[in-house]
Amino acid sequence: MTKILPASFEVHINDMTYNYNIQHIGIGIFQFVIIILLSPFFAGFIHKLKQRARGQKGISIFQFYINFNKLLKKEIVLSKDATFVSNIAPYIVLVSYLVVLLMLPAFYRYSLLGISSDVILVAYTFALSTFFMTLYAMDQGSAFGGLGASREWFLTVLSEPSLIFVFISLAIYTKNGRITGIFYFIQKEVSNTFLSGAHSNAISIAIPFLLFVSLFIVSISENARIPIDNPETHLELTMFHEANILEASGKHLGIFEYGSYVKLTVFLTLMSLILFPYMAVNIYQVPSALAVYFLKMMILCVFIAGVEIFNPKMRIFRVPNILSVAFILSLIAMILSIRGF
Amino acid sequence: MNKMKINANIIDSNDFARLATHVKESGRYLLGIAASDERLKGSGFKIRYFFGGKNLIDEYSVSLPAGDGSFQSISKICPAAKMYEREINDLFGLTPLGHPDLRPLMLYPENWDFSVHPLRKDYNNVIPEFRKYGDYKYKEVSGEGIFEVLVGPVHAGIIEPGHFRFSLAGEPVLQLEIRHFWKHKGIEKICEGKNFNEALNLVSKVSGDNNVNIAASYLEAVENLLNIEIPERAKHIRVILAELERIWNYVRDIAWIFMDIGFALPAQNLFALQEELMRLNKSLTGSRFMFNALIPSGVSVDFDSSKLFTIDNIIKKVEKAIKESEAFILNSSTVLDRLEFTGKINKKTAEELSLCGISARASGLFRDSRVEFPYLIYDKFNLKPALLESGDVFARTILRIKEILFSAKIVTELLFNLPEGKIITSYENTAEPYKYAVGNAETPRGNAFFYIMADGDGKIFRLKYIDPSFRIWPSIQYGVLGDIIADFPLINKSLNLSYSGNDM
Repeated sequence: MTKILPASFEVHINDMTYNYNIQHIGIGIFQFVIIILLSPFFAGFIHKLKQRARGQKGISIFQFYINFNKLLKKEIVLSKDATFVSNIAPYIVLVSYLVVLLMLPAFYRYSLLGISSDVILVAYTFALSTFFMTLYAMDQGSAFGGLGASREWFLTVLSEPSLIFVFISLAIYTKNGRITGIFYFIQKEVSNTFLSGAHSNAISIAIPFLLFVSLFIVSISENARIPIDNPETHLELTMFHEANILEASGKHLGIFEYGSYVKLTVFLTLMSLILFPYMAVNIYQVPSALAVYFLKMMILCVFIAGVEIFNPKMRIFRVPNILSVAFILSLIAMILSIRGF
Repeated sequence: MNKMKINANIIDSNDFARLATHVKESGRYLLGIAASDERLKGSGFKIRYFFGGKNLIDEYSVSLPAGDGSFQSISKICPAAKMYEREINDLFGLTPLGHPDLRPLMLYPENWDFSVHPLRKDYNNVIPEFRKYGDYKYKEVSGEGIFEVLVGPVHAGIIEPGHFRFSLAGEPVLQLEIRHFWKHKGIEKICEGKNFNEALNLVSKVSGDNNVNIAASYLEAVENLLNIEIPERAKHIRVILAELERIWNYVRDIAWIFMDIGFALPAQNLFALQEELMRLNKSLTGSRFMFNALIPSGVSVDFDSSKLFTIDNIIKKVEKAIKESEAFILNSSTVLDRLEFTGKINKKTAEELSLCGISARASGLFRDSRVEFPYLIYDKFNLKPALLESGDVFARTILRIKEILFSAKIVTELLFNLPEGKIITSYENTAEPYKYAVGNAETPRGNAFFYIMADGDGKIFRLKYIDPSFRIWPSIQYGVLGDIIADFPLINKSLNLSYSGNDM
C-alpha cells in the first residue's frame, strides 16, 4: 500500500480548526505572491502622489521595479571590515517581512501561515528584521552605520510598546490570539452590524478606531516617513532608516529596498484590515475581496502621502512626543477592550 | 561721486600687534588681510590689514624686510585674523609669531611640499611632485562614549568638497572641525600679470551665483584704480542687476531651508519661482547667472521699456510669493519648531569672527557694505536693512525674506527712474604703476572685498579677493555647538556658504 498525500488535512490547535486543502493553499500562495508583486507599486504610488502635489512631473509609478531590477544586476561592494553577517543580514531582513506577509489574511481568510500567526510572533518578527538591519549597519564599520543603528533602535524601542499594545488589545477585544482569527472576528462584527442594522456598542467602534490611529503613527515611524524620517533625503546626517543601509550596494541594496516596500505594504495591510476587514472565505469571493483590498490600500497610500506632503520633518528629539501619543491611544484601546467584556 | 576714503598708516609689525587692541576697541572690524611680495620693488614683503567702520576703511601696512620671514600674529586679539594669517603662512611662507594654530590651511602636506609658497614672486609655477610630504593633525576629542563622524570631502549629491569632522556624544555635537580648500584654484596667482578685463572673467566665475555682486566689487576697485567715472545709467543698471541677483539667491536659499526640513511642497514652489527669475536673467543678459553683464567702465546690457515691464511683473510676483512664504513660516508651528533656536551664533562670536552679510545681521551685528561703504548709487537710498538679534536659522530665514522685499523695492524704484544716456565710457586699460585700490560690495552672502595692485606695466601685480564665505565658514563650528548632528545640514544651508568662493 502506498501512502499518498491526502487532498486535504486538518490541523487542530486548541479549539481552532484549520482546514488546509488545495484551494486554501493555492489561494494563499496567490495572495502572498500578488502582494509581494504589488508592494513596490504602493511605494511608487505614494512617491508619485507626493511629487504631483509639489508640481513635479515625477518618476514613473513603476520606477521602483526598474530600480530593483537594476540593483540586482549590480555588483556587491562590502567594506573590508565586513563579516559574514553582512552577507546574510539582507536576506534575513527580507525574509522576516515575508514571513509576516505569509501570516496576514490580506484578502483571503486562510493565509498560508495563518495557523501560527500569533500576535506576539508578528511583532517580534519585525524586531528581528530591525535587529539584523542594524547589525548590517554596524558590521560595515562606518560611523554612519553606528549612528543610523542607534537612531533606528531609538525609534523601534519607542514604537514597539505601541505595536504590541495594538496587537494585544485586538487579541483581548476579539478573544483571539491569531491575526487571522482577530480580523475574521472584526469582519463578522462589522457585517453583523451592517446587516442587522443594529448599532453595536460604542466601544466596538472606538477600539478599532483608536488602534487604527495608533498603528498609523507607528507605521509612519517604522517605515521612515515624514515627519519622523525622510525617505527621499540624501543627507547622511539626518537619516534614520537610510543610514543603516548607506553602505549597502548592488543586490544587498536591492533586497533592503524591496524589504522596505514589503514592510510598508505589511503595515498598510494591517491598517486596512483594522479599518475595514473584508476577507474572502472561498474562491468565489476572491476577486471582489482583492478589489476591495486594492482600493483600501490606495486610500491608505493617499493618507500617508497627505501626511508627508503637509508636514516638515520634525526634530529628532520631538519624535518621542508623537510616538507617546500612539502609545497612549493603544493603551486606552487596551483598557477599553478589557473593560468592554 | 563719493569715493571711499582709505586711511593709510604705515607701521611696524610689533607696534601693530599692540595697536590692534586699540583699533578693535574703537569699533572697527577686520575686513581682510592682504599680503604681497614686493621684494622686486625693493620693499620686501608687505602685509596690509584692512579695518572697516562706518564710512571708512583703515589700512595698516606692515613691511617686512626681505630677509625677515615672520611677523606678529594678531589672532589672539582679533580671532578673525586667524584664517588670513594661516593663509599667508601657506602662500607666502611668512610665519605669524604667536599664532595659536599654524597647521597648513590650503597647501596640503599630504601632497604639497611646504617649502614651496606659490604666491611669492619667485615661485617658478612648477607643481611639486605629487607624493606625501607630511601629515595633517586634526583636533582630538576624547572621553567615554565619544565618537567621530567624518563627512566628506566627497558628499552625496552635487555639492562641492569639504571635510567636516564631528565629535559626538550621542546626538549632540561636542566639536565640529571643518577642513576646506580641497580644490584650491590659485586664481590670485593666475590673475597676476593679466589685464583687468581678463581678470574680471576669472573673478566673476569664483562664485558663480554671486558673480554680479562680486564683479561690482571688483569693478569698484578697478575703476578706482583707473580713475574711471562710469555713466549714471550704467550705475543704475548695475544696481538693478545686483539686486536681481540678491533676490534670486535668497529665493533659492529659502527654498533649500524648506527642503532641509523635509518640507518639499513650499520648497518646490520657491524653486519654480527661482527658475522664473533665472529665465528673467537669461532674457535680460543672455545668461542664467548674468555672467559678463558688468564690464569695466559700464555694463554690457541695456534695458528697453518692454524689459523693464517684464522685470516689474516678475518682481510683483516675487513679492506676493515671498509674503505668502513669510506668513506660512510664521503660522506653521512645525516649521517654527525646526527653525527657532537652531544653529545659534551669538553676537559676540559674530563680532569676534568679523562676520558679514545675513549671518552678521541675523546675530544683531549691523554689517551691510551698501550702507557702510556706499558704492554705485547706494548712498542715494536711505537704506535701513533689517536687523535681528536671535542669530538662529529662523532669524536668517526671516532676514532673507525681508531682504527680498527690500531689494524688490529698490528695483521697482529704479526701474522707472532710469537716467538716459550711455551705458559705457571709454577708458585707459593700464593703471599707474604700483598704485592700488580696494573695492567693496554686498553680495547675497556678505561683503566681497577686493584689493588690487598694479604692476610696472599697469597690469595686475597682486589681486586679493576675500569672499564672504571665507569669513563666515569658521562660524559654523560655533553655530552647531549645543545642537544635534541631525540639524547640521539645516544650519549649513541657512548660512549657505560658497565652497568655491572660499577656495580661491
